[in-house]
Amino acid sequence: MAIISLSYKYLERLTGTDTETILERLPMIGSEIERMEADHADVEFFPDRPDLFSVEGVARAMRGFLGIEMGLPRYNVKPSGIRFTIDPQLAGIRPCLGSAIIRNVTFDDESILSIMALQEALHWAVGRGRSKVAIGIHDLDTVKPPFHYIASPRSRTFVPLDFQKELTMDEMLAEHPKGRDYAKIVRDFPLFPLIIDDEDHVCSFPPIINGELTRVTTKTKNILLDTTGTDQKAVGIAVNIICTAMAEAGAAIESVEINGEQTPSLAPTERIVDVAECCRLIGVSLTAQEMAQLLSRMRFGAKPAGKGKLRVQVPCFRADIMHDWDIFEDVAIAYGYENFAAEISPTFTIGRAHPVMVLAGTVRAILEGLGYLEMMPFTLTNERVLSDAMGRERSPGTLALMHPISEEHMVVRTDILPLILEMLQVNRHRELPQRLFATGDVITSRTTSQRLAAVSTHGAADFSEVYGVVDAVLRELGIAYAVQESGDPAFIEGRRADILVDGKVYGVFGEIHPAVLNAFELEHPVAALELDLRAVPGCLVP
Amino acid sequence: MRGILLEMGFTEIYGDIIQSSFWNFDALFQPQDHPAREMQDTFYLRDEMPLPQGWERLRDMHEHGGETSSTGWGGRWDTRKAQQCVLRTHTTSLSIQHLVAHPDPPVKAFCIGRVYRREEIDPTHTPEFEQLEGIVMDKGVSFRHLLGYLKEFYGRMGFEDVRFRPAYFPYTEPSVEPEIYVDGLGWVEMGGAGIFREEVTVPWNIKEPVLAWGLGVSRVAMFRLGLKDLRLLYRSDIDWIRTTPVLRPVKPVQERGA
Repeated sequence: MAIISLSYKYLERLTGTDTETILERLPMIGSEIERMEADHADVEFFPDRPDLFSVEGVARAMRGFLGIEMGLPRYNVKPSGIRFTIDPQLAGIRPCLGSAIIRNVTFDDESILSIMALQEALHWAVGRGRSKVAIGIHDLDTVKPPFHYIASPRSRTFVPLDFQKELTMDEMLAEHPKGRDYAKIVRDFPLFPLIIDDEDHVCSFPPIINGELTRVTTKTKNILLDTTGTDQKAVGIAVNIICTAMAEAGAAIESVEINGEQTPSLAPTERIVDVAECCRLIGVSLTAQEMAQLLSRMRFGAKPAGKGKLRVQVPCFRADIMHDWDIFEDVAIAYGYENFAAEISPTFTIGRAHPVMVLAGTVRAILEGLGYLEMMPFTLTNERVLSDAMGRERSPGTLALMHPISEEHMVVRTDILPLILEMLQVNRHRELPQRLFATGDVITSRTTSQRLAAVSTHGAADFSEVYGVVDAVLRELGIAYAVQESGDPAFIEGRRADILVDGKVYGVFGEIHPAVLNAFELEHPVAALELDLRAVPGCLVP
Repeated sequence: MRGILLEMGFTEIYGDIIQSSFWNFDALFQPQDHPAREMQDTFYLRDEMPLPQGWERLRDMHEHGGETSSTGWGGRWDTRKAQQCVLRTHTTSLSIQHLVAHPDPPVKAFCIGRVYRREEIDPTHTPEFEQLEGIVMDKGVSFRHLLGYLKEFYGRMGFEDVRFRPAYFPYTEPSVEPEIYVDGLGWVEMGGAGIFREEVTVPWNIKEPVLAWGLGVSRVAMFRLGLKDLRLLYRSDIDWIRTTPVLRPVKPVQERGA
């Protein structure tokens, strides 16, 4: 999540109203105020709105939302006359480049902090941790155009940011903190991406680190922006967001020539949308004029285009507008979520419970009636609990997670009884008797089915007690069953039985083996049962 | 909650914990490079599932927006990535499959089930938890009705004060985050909701809008039971169960004039 720090002073200056008014309405454009400090607020914005990841961007949106300045913000872009070349060898490495010249920057601490935070947030939200897009900001007056984006030997040396001595690019991956963080993006390439000026001075080694030479300070007046990546659309959006934010802060934007094209243009894109479709979707009736008015609050340009259509100009910094409905959501936000007449639709339908859940409910009612407490153990467990502690063979059908989060949670349960015994272990110092059950999904191979497991522990828990419970449960479930001597090693020989339905084993019950009790650190006898609920007549068999 | 939704005329959905990435992510228009799909957030299994019929329409949707006004995500959509099996990260994977099987309106359905996220265990996070999800698909339903369903549902649970804030979810547009008022805590977030994007519904010939909302059931349990540590739900102290009243009555619906 992107949490952006909004300085009250800077925000008020850019928005043109007081902080209280801004913060009161801010959540209603889609944000969450995390905390309010004496001089700033930390606010979380959604990943689809990277244009709000700076004080400048937030001020622009809030001026519209509060009616201070509405409609499409316009940005003038003059050609800088500067050219940027791209080395064709970068094709398989990091082919996309965006750039701009940003002049007349007046960096004070607040605007520097805002732009640095914007850069970091864009790396995360648009750049996917710099792999898709990485952004470099340089002091233009330290280098000489034209600039060249090249594929360089890994042995090339320069002084990286925050270092005093030259390192090879290979060494940077091991020795520079940023190198270590992002090495995995470039490690396997034979040549590394590098940006140099016309006199072979290094500006940056994207996506890893800038050179010390072009460091931006409070004295910087003019900026060279480089944005590199693997996706041209994402690179373009990052350039647009940074340039328009800097323009909001008073800078002048100039374009750069890349592959014979002037970029960026910062011009809006256009969409023709249907007014009636919008009204149907959000459930409010609006005229084309009213809809245009609402969109101008969200900083779109919008004019009725006849025949119930609206011509919408989408600002160049809106990364999220992929579909007409994305525009309709902005209409709803401008209308105000608090102003909708919330009402359920009159559709008549009959509720239907799912048979699996109905059966689970029946099983619960039976066990609760027998005085058992329901437990809700995890479905993730490990082979030590599932098989080893039970004295059972590990099953080849147990599903293992590829990247488990802990040794406790390595596989999906194939059985519930071991997990209920674990519950007894957790509660071994609590008062006896304890009678617990759990029912739910188990998975063997890829087949999901439902099981029931129940345990009773106290000084006199024995075969007869659990036999009585088995008989009650199966009778209530309408299952005709037989029992036979079981060979399950989790139970004591001679005090264990399989539950047979139509000649097939569906469950087991008896007294838990002392070795198993030991494994779960239990000191009192435990009588237990487990039952595959596929034994129930009419049960859905997957 | 199950009782409330059955009373409100919803059909219950139940389905597999193991899902293909196709149904868990791709069908919900999550881009293939979305961070939530990474190994550090999702439990993957060393197993693959074949793609369902009609997968090409979904590929087109991702690559260029198919026949809708969408631009799609661009880039190439990888069939191998879509075939990987995961432990479902939300029950929405079941909702979309229910709609694919029942594309004609009206559909009102819900699901309450275990979902999985690769999170370290702490008092408010567990790698598995219960999620509830409801969907309404019908002619003429709109965002206004979605807000209506949310108010009705939370009201029946005893949360009378509900308000709405804009939100973002990859598969809904518009999106909304309901907040409920809890005595002693103030306004708290309670799940998310929205209307399924066309990129989600059009590949399956679902022609009417789909209202959808979801919430963490465990979170409600925390408020209702005054629970400070989620782990207690799954690794319960028997003394806690024995002494915690679970069935505290909520005011009957009629008395609130609903």
